[in-house]
Amino acid sequence: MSNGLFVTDEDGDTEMNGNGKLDKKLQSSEILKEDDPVVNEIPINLTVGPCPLHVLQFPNKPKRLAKNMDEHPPIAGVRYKDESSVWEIDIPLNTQVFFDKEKAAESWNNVDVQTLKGVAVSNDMLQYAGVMKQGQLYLIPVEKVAQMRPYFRYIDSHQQVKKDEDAKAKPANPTAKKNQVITMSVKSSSEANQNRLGGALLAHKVADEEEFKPLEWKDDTFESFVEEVTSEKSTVPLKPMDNDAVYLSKLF
Amino acid sequence: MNHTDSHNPDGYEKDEAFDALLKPVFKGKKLTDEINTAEDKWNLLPAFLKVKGLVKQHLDSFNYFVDVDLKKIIKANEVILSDVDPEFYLKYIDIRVGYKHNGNKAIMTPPHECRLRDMTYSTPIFVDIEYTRGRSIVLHRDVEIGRMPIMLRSNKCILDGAAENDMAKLNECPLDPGGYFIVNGTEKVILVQEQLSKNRIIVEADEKKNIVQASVTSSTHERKSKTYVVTKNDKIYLKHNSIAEEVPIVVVLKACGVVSDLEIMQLVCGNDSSYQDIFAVNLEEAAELKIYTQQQALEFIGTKVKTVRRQKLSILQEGIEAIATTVIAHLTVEALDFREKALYIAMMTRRVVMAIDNPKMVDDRDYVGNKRLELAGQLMSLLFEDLFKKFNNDFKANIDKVLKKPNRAEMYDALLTINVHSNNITTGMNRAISTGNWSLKRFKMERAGVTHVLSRLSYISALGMMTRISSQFEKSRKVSGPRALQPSQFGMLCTSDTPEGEACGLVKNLALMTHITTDDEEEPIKRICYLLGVEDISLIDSASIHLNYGVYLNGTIIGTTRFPTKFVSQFRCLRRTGRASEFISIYTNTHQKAVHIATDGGRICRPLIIVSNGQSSVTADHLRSLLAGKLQFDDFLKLGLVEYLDVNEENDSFIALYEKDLSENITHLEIESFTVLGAVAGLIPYPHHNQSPRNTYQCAMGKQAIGAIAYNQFKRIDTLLYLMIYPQQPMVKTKTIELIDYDKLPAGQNATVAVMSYSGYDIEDALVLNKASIDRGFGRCETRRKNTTVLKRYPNHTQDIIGGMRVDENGEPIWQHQALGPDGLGEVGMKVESGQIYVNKSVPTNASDSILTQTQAQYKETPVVYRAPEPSHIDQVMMSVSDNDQALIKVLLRQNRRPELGDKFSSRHGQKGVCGIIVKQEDLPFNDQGVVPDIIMNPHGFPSRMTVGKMIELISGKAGVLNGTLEYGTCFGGSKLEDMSKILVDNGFNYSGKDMLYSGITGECLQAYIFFGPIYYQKLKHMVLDKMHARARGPRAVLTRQPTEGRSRDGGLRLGEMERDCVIAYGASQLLLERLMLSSDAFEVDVCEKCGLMGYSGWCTSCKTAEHVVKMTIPYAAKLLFQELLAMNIAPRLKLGDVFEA
Repeated sequence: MSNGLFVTDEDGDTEMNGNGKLDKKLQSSEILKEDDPVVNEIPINLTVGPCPLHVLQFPNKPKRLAKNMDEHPPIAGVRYKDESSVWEIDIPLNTQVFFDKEKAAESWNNVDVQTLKGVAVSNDMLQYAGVMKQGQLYLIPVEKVAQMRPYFRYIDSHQQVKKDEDAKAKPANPTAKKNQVITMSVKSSSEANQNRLGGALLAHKVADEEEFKPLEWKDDTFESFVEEVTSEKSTVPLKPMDNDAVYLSKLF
Repeated sequence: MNHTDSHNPDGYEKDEAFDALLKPVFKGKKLTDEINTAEDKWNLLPAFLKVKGLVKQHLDSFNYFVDVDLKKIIKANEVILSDVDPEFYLKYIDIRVGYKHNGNKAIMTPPHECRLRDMTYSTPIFVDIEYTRGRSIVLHRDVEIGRMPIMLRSNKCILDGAAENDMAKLNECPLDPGGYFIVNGTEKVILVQEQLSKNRIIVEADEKKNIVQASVTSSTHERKSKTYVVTKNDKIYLKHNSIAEEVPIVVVLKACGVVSDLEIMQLVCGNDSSYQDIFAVNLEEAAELKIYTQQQALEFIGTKVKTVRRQKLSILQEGIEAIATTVIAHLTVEALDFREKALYIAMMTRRVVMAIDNPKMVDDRDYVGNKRLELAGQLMSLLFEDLFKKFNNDFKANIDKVLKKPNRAEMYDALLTINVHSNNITTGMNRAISTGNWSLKRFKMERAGVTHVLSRLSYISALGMMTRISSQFEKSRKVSGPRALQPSQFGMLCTSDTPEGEACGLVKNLALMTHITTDDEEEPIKRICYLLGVEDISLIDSASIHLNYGVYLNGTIIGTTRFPTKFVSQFRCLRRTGRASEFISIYTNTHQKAVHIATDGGRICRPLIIVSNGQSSVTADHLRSLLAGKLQFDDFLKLGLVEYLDVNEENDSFIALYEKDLSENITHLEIESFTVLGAVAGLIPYPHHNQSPRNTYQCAMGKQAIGAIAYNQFKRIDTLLYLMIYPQQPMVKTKTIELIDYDKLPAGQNATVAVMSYSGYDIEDALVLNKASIDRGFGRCETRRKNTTVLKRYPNHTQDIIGGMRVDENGEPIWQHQALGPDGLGEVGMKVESGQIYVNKSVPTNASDSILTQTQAQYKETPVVYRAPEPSHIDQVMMSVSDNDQALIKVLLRQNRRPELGDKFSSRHGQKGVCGIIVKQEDLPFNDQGVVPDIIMNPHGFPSRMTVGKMIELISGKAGVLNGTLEYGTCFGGSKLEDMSKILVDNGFNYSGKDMLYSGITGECLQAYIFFGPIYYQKLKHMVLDKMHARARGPRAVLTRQPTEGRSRDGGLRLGEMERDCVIAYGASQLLLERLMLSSDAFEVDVCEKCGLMGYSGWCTSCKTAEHVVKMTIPYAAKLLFQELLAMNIAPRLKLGDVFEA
């Protein structure tokens, strides 16, 4: 019936350019896979350290300090709250340069340390710290990770002092008696106990009431730590239970 | 995550729904025919509809609610404690709907019985409770706490999995889609609601006002709130309803613990210098406020919080509470670390900064990917949680009351009082569904019009209602954006089916092959991401966050990845192998440098064939196994041949429409292109040849067409039912018609149409009908109207009764009682005329008397009288007992109607017309074969409407008639016009469908060839009989004494303002006087010429004399006005003068 009665459909739209952005990347990753031969096989050991491992991260430290241990500032004091997992670290300040001694003396109680504070968050992701020793990899499970950020205790306490003075200056309100909180040993429920603090407020209250446990900062213990961790006693070498094929079949 | 049920192709059980497919010839194809993937991949569509169905979204959502969500609600509210007795506790262990702990199902009244007896189709809700009784702990199973209305055909419904003969036994129609509730005998649908997605950041810009804002609507079980990050004078602030004023963003971030300015800058801007320039001002602002520490910032925010609390908090605590729970409420912080929140706020800020830098980086509110659909299950779960909380509160108050008593005689069993409150849940659910008022105390939400009565006008109207989506936008607002057709709705929402007028574009319909997701667990997906090498966000330092692609799970950043393409493709691989739910979507957004993963419910998605290396994954082999019943649609998902894409992921893919378009870049292949349309638009043959608005008109009209509504239509007693007597399936079908079984429940007839002018009674789209066709049953329909009578019982033990019939002296029943039987009810089959009685009810006159003073009951007749211009026949009489033990009588009255002048008809192309004249067959033109048209349509209907599809329908239909086949007019496909013309030519007809016709009047042949052939015509529900109305005299309104309004009140026809203006323009003053006063509310008043006030009976009350009183006629409304003015201390005085001076 192609007698010209009907107009046939136009040929399809022109093809799009064959080099989509997405594809290029895909191809490059495929090439990587192919040109990625196994160079070295490393045995892995799982170790149990002498103590739980906490990783402290210092987001405000310059990147270039990382490698050079000597340039890292010394640490004057370490404190830890067990229950609320709060770390505090004191770093002595260089009071010789860029330091306003007068201001420090005036209102900041002669502060001469920088305090870093961080809340340790338990490491659900099961991360491990690894040590390479004699061609073997030793993995130590990380229990908690804390990011250490500056904590200006002196500013807050100065403000508190000011506030207290203000409050004293004002005539005290006689009706405002201190409320006594009586806690009962009943299981808490949101409905039944309206006056109980919950969530973040409770966590803050617990943290505020908890005493710091002073700890000692020890440098240059890395070698002995590595020794201890990599000892025969504390390590379990990890061996594959199945071969590659079984593993892959389990995956997919 | 694991799909455990593996498939055994050999031991496959026989599937009845595929029986038709297995017959030797199916839809014109033989089993041995060659399978062509390009042509036959559409078979995936029936396979999809078989597992998903058209209303599957409702069923899925309801099933999720009763099976999963209910348990979550119970878990969240599981313990009841007493304020009085610290020892007491009560704990919900489990909840089940419809079955006991041993798996025994509760007995349910079948749905059709519920419909007939005005009952609610529901099943008990059982809970297992553990509680203390005295010293001991007791576990009690299967305690009923109320009844849950059940969605028909959900997995709790007795129709679930029922075969066709089981359905017939239960008086149910097997084609009925379900998805609705039956509450108090009426079928109620919870319409799908469209909303902006929750817990996602939406960035908007107002370039005129120079405002950029990022907002997020946080929604949890507990609360709903909205947080904004806005610009004001080029600085960025955080805004929230419960914080009195905007808080500088840097202060907020410091309050979250990010105190160092450097880190704030890193979090928000990364190392992009233009972002840093934009953001830097904000750091200065915080410094000006002298806020350096977290505590200072928290206290600053604490002073601005304006929440009213029962418990007094210190300013610092207020600040902590605001940051931890109020702001971005869906990320509630339970511990000390606010980093997660800081990151979220920083991300919002970053989006604002990005939009300031580049105004194109804003989101589109109307983009379908930013929308979520709220279904019946979600709404029911909100309602249930509210009712359950109230139930628990009442229960607890009750327990406390008992436990408070100092010396109780016996051991207290809390369970004894639980049943007292169970009615609250039952009635609460019933009331909400039957009224449509959703009131949720905890969100302070009042929503009206959530439910609608399922329209049973036709099968299509019911189906159309189940796929309807209503928008939350106000109809009155004059914005075009939400109403416009969105490119992103391709394949998801029907492009044609939307109403005209105020709801245009706001009410949408689902396309044919869509699925709406339900909520999925986030946690396993998170794990998968980390396993695939995503770096955990909580371990990344702020400086390197923006170096790589962020990975967002439901809008919240969970990590970063250096290789987004690889990560996305690996994730997709896991999804395709069934390791993750198939409804999880993942896509890359290069503008935001982000990979977004969505697991939340309410996303629309649709299946597409996966293409790899330019090859479709689905091969002819797969299709063969599908047809042989060895594979199901779900197997295609498991085998990774087909996958669901939501709108966002669709935008990250290259989708080919046809197999011929496949190339290296293509990632997916469309299953069938006609699935862009929905079920209702799918009825239109050749819609791709029509002007688009015509398809929209047909979508509105298809729902008004009279036809068959269900297989159980004669067993139903509905308020009003229209049925066609001889419905036919269309000559030109579409694949959609077959898929939705419209061919089994059609609404229309194939009429032979001649497109020509005839008699002049065909102007303005009027149709000429053939009288003989009407005699043969063309367009004949019946109406069935229900009347419900309740026999009430009264407190003094009297009750309504049904009297017998009254007879005259010859023993014959009197005329009014002629339709009655000896039981006082109309006899089935009897004709009732206006004024006759069909339920002879009597009411006791002393119903309010007390029982003590009771004498013999006296009755007053209150019969049900039939009043209508045309008589009806009694079709069915039902007597039963409703829920509250009162006798219920339903009488169904039937009227048979043949088409008459003024009845409305329409083809399937938005071409409606009324019957203009009915002509004897002998006067109509005929062709060589002697075929006389059923309908003559005026050709002027075509040029301006451009409904070419209708012409092709005629040719295909004609070819089908000649060939003995049913032809297809499927969208973007169907029978080819060339082939159809070939058939015409082969049968000796003209290729163009034109015939030579002879005049029926003169016998001469007509001077032009006439376009002549079958077109499917629908009879619409608008019929003259229901609308014709005239009145000479009749009732008047009491207040104004003007004629009443409306046909139902036998009202007058109004001469309105504009008509009045015309009469004035003509100067026809006497006509004006007659129409406006004499024929309406003329009233004679006595006016005192002296004081000008109105008196009465020839006496002026103010002048105390009859001397000057004269009579005059004024409209009663005018008299009313004068009196009302007098009542407010204004004295209107009439000054009378003679028109004709003496």
